[in-house]
Amino acid sequence: MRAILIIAWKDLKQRLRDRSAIVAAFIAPLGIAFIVSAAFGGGFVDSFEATYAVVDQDQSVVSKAFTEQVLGGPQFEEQVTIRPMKDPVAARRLVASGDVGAAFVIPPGFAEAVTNGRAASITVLRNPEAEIASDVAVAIADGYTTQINASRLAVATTLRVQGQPLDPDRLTELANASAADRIPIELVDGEVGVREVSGVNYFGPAMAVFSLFFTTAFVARSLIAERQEGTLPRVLAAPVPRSSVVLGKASSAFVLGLVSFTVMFLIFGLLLDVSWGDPLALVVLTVATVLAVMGLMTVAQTGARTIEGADAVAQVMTVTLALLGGSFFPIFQMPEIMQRLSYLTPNGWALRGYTDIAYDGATLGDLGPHLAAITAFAVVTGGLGIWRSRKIA
Amino acid sequence: MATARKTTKRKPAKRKPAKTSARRAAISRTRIEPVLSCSGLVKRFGDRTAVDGVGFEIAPGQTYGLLGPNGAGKTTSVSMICGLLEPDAGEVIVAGMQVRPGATKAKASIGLVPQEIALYPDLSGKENLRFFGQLYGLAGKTLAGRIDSVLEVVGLADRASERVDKYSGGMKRRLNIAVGLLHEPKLLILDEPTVGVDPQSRNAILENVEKLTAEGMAVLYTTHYMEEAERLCDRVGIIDEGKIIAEGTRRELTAKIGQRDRIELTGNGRLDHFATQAKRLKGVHDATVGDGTVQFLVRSGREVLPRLLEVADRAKVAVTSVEVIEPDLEAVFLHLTGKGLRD
Repeated sequence: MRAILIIAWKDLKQRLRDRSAIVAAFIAPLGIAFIVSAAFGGGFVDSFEATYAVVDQDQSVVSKAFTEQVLGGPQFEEQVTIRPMKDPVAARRLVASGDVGAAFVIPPGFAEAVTNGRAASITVLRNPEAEIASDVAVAIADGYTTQINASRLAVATTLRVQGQPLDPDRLTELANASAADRIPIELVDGEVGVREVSGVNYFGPAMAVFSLFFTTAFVARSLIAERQEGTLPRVLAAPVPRSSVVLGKASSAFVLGLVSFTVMFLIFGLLLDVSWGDPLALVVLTVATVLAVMGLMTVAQTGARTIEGADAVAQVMTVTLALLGGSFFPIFQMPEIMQRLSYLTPNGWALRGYTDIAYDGATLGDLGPHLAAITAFAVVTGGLGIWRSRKIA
Repeated sequence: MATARKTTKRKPAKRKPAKTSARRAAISRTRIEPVLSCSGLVKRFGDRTAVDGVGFEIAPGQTYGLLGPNGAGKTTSVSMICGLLEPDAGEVIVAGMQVRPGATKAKASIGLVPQEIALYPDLSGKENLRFFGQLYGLAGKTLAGRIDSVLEVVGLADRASERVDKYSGGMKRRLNIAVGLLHEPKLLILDEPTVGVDPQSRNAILENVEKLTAEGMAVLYTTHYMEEAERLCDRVGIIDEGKIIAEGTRRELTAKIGQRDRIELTGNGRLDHFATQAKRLKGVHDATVGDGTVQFLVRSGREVLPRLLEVADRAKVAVTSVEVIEPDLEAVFLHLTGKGLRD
């Protein structure tokens, strides 16, 4: 243990005297996180706004209720702008030109179909370049038609149970009561990507993990450098266990990684008043993440024979994992296939964990799957790295 | 012939001091437990056998020279002796303990000065010493005292706080040695410590080694510089292609090949007559007259020289200079292998 600490301390001293290591560990992640966060504004949900064209060819009470009470209701007040139109062809043109996110076309006879129990539908013209706005439009139309069908079913059921016709006043009262019992229509979390996530909350940890790849690679490459410069044989000739060399270097990478994360959390927390969530969950997730990235980099470094080779492997690994794991783009805004691939990366799991802690109020108990996956990465890659380091001399 | 010319430049004053010879004699009279004992060392790398059955012993206060050209197997032997490489066969015992890569206790008795400068350039001289001292279990005042002491020995006390990358090549070499001395090892292994060193630093290094052996440290010294082996080593093992092909003191080794001393005498007068007279002396095998010089091939230069000068006096030859050239290890190596040490 003493030898591990001696080697770790020596390595830390060397790294802290190296300006490029300071830049990689502290300045770069903070700087990039600031820039990327600024590019995304205050967050991702605030940026969602859509303009919808509405062509009401029915002009009935039921169709007007959709335009005025659903689209124009208080729940969409800040996000949705309505552009009433008369001609479906003109609406289609607006959608094609990208002037509106989507168009609703309520066909003639919509109310009559509803009243007579026939299938009633609202057509949504989607703008393929405004995927989220189109998805939201479909969800709103679906919600409204479901609401109508539910009301109609409720009235019909009451009539059947009664077995006799109701007087007109009672029937109107029943229909109104059913309609008032609304199925809620609102923006939904998940597939359409409108989760409320602030830029700093996401990109702070994203960039810290990204820089962690460089920080750990920097320390791990020193093993090859020592072999090339001749200091490694001298250390191995000393009365210390061979494993203490690798563990000492790993310890210095671990400390540097943790300090890098802590600085990031503190600076954003103090300067931008960012709330990171449950501290215990944050600490445990960070420790596991640093260990996993260290493991990956140890594999990259112990497999290489030259510093140049090690750097090339580490760079390819870093960029691939950063792209797949959501370091550059928020995971929940990536295509489905990319979201699935992100489960294969420790940084993908880590970023899910950080956003869960920050936005869903997740605690340590909620991070079971995240920690299990990240720890598995750490154990497998770290074990492989230590096994391969037996031949470091 | 070229070998002989190199030898003539050697100054007799740099021979081992008498005190060391006496100590050597004492060592040979009484059986002292060797600090290093290795036997039958074999190391193969694929199909190539780098070291093939190397074995020797070093007593306290003795310097053993492993002399051979580059690639002869010196560094591989050293790597096995200090526990960096696992031998394929044979064993190494240092201070009564078997040395293996995992044998930390045995390694504590060994000080290694590798051929390459094994220092951290971004740390100061003192920080390098502190780091390696700590690895050898030194701490606190003991460590501080030892650091001051070795810095004094290698003459770097006033530059200890500077970063090593600011040092000259010679200073780095001296610090490289200081690291090996830090924990006062029983066995000091110096693997080609003077490669690329300026003459002044080289002399300082050799003087340090002489001092250490005088204090009782056992030293294993590998080199391909014949002059260093002759100056420092009590015994020499000549290694080539992984095998020790001859071993002994310098005298024993040169005697093995039956070479004789040469005396080169420069003077004025009847040199032909002098050469003819001198040839009749016991121990003189041959005499060749050149331009103002006579070269004698003799059994022992030290024994023959006084009588030779008497003959010169009788022959009315005014002697202006005399040089005794003893057979050297380079000649031995050449004789045994058919190639030079620097080939």
